[in-house]
Amino acid sequence: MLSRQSLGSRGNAAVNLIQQSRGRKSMAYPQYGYKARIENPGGSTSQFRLLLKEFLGPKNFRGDYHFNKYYYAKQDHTTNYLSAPSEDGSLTRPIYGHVRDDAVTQNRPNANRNLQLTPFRLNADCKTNTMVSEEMKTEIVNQIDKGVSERDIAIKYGLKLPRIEAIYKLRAIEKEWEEKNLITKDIKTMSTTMYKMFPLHDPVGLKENLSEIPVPVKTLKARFLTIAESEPFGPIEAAESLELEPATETLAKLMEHREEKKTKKQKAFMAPVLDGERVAFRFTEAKVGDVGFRYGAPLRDTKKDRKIEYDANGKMVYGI
Amino acid sequence: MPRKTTNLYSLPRGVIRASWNKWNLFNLYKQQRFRDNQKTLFKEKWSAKNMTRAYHGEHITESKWKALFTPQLDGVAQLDASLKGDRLKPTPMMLQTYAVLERRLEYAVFRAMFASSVRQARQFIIQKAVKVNGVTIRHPSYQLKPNDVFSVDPEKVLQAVGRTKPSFKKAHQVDQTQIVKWNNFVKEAKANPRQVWERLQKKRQDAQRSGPSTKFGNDQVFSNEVILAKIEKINENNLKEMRAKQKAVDKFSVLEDIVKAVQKSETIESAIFEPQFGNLKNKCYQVYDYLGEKHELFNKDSVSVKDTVSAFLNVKPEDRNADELKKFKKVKQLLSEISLDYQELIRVSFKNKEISKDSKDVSYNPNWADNLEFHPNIAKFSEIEDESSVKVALPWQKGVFGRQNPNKSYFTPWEPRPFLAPFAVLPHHLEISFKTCHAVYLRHPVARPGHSEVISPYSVETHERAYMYYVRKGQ
Repeated sequence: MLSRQSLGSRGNAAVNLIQQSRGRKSMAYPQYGYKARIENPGGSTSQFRLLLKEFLGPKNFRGDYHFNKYYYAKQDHTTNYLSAPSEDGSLTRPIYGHVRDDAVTQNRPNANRNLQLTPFRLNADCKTNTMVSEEMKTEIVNQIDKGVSERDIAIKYGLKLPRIEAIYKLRAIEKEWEEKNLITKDIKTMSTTMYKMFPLHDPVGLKENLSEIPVPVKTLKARFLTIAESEPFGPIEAAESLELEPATETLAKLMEHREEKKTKKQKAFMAPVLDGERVAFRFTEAKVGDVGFRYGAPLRDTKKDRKIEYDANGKMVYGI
Repeated sequence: MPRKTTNLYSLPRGVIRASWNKWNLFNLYKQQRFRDNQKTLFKEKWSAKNMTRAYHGEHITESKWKALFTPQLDGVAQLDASLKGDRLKPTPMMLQTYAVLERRLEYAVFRAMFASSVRQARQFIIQKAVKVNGVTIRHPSYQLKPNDVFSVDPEKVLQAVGRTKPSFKKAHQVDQTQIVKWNNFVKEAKANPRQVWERLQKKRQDAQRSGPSTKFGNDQVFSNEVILAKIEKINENNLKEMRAKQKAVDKFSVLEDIVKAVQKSETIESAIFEPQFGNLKNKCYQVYDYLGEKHELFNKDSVSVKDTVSAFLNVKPEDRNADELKKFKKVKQLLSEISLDYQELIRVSFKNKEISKDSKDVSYNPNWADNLEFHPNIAKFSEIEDESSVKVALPWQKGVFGRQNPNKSYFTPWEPRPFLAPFAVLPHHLEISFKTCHAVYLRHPVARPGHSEVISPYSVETHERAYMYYVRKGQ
């Protein structure tokens, strides 16, 4: 920063420079006030630190802010998010008493599912997911093992197909870890703590929508159409004008795509071993470019935004 | 290279970061509604971009982010929307502005709650603690594809989600205080056991009144759950005992008891049956009366009462003379009456013994404080050369505070980190297994009516201005 002394006769210019405001002008005080209502021993602590101290509450000898209602992780499958008791979404000055007799807690209806699932008071569109209970996971895995189709399971439990597949995959890993005795006591405590912190999945009330498709690109832009006043115009006509296919076809295509992906196999064949040859050759299909260079393909090694890829060992390589 | 950090959690600045820091929690607590009535649109766009970028990819430089940004946003349409009528909420597409960042490995690790901040997730990846599909990836910007399985070293996760390990000095201080407090408690309990017991009960009842315990507590010794479990166990044992006793009661056992009571006492009157049979004493006396004083059963020289009783009751009716048979029938009837009533008597007596869960007198044992032991004081900090020489064995804690296993990088035995709950958001685009510290990346996060899978503390309006800023390349 420039100082008046160093500039000598051009001091006025320096003063102008210093006075330029940068960033936000107002400081981020809480809405309930800019002065903390706690003692400031020695008077040396800043108001912001005092406000933080007031928010955190008293600390016990173990170093716990045991009166702060957000300090402990709840263990009854309910969340403990910053709630918005007032209409404008602001929070009140923290009140300390017993953790559960907190005035803020009473203001917040625990039964209200929406508040339970909304972690940020100013963003109602952000919601936490629910945990699938261990029992339900076991049921799902057992049913897949029995040969029940994943689609039927998805409908029964109100979970999307990828999630069911993921549950199955993760269960297999968990089983393997249990067999190898890799799950220590601390990991067990950690996993049960995290498990009990979230609401459980309810296949009736909180089921996932299974009829979701990616938004068709053509619907993202407005399209103008001239029609006669007497001509009927409903959703079918609208779909026709946007060249959209019927929903059943879209869903069928999505399912096909998933199944295709699963059954894709690499083509390979063994070459016949000729007289005198010591090794058998196995030929697999490969794409030029993925293996070696395609003759005449442009090399982007001089470009700034080079394509980044990763090889089988996780090493970053530049794509061609 | 990530952006340089300078005072990320500044209280006067009050910007919200993707982190579980307690200072950040206070900044989140102070968060104010976005002002959408500023002097110019550019001011709105600028402030929105400032706020949202502080949370989304704060460590990524602005030029890098501008290269990553894509104007096309991912959303889903619901085919059953027409069935719901006009109840459908608008799709918050603008919340997808920063969705491309969620594909990065560092973000997925943070969202899966395996790291306490995005910067820590980056560290874990660089330290080779993160694998994708079984292959170690050292690049925080690695782009995940749907169905990728990623995992983090459990030790790192325990460190990130767990409480900070205290230094030995701090732990020693806490232990000294704990031991003094415990010893004072034991002293007081031994002096006035009744008073201390009642105080504990009151504490327990207060906790019970305010619902089930929800906190991950350390006071497990006298906690509500522990005491309730104890009560339940006592009641269960009582019930078992009662059933066994009831099962053992029949004509044989009743007669045996009567005979024994008669044999023991010199003068025979109904009062001698009272201690065992209570109100049934008269009926018992009637049995004695019918059989008569001289009956062989009451012979004090008989070797085994059990055998003589079973011999007496098992004699077949045709082997008895008419007079005896009449008497025998009467006695038999009386005995069956007594055994039925006696079973009921046992039930009632055990019912009275049962401990109510909210009773004040939970199994009060006047000698309960005798089992409590004083804890020997530990040496002064300056006198300790080796940490392992310090032995702490309190009822709720074995080993030095938070350092039961000092080789671990986290608080042992493991405890969740403070202020974890307000930050814990379970993502929709990941399926997590905490048991194995594995997670599956299900899909790129999308927006649907009334919900966006991108986790953000800012509203659609804020994101809209930020999108407007970047879609014109910061103009």
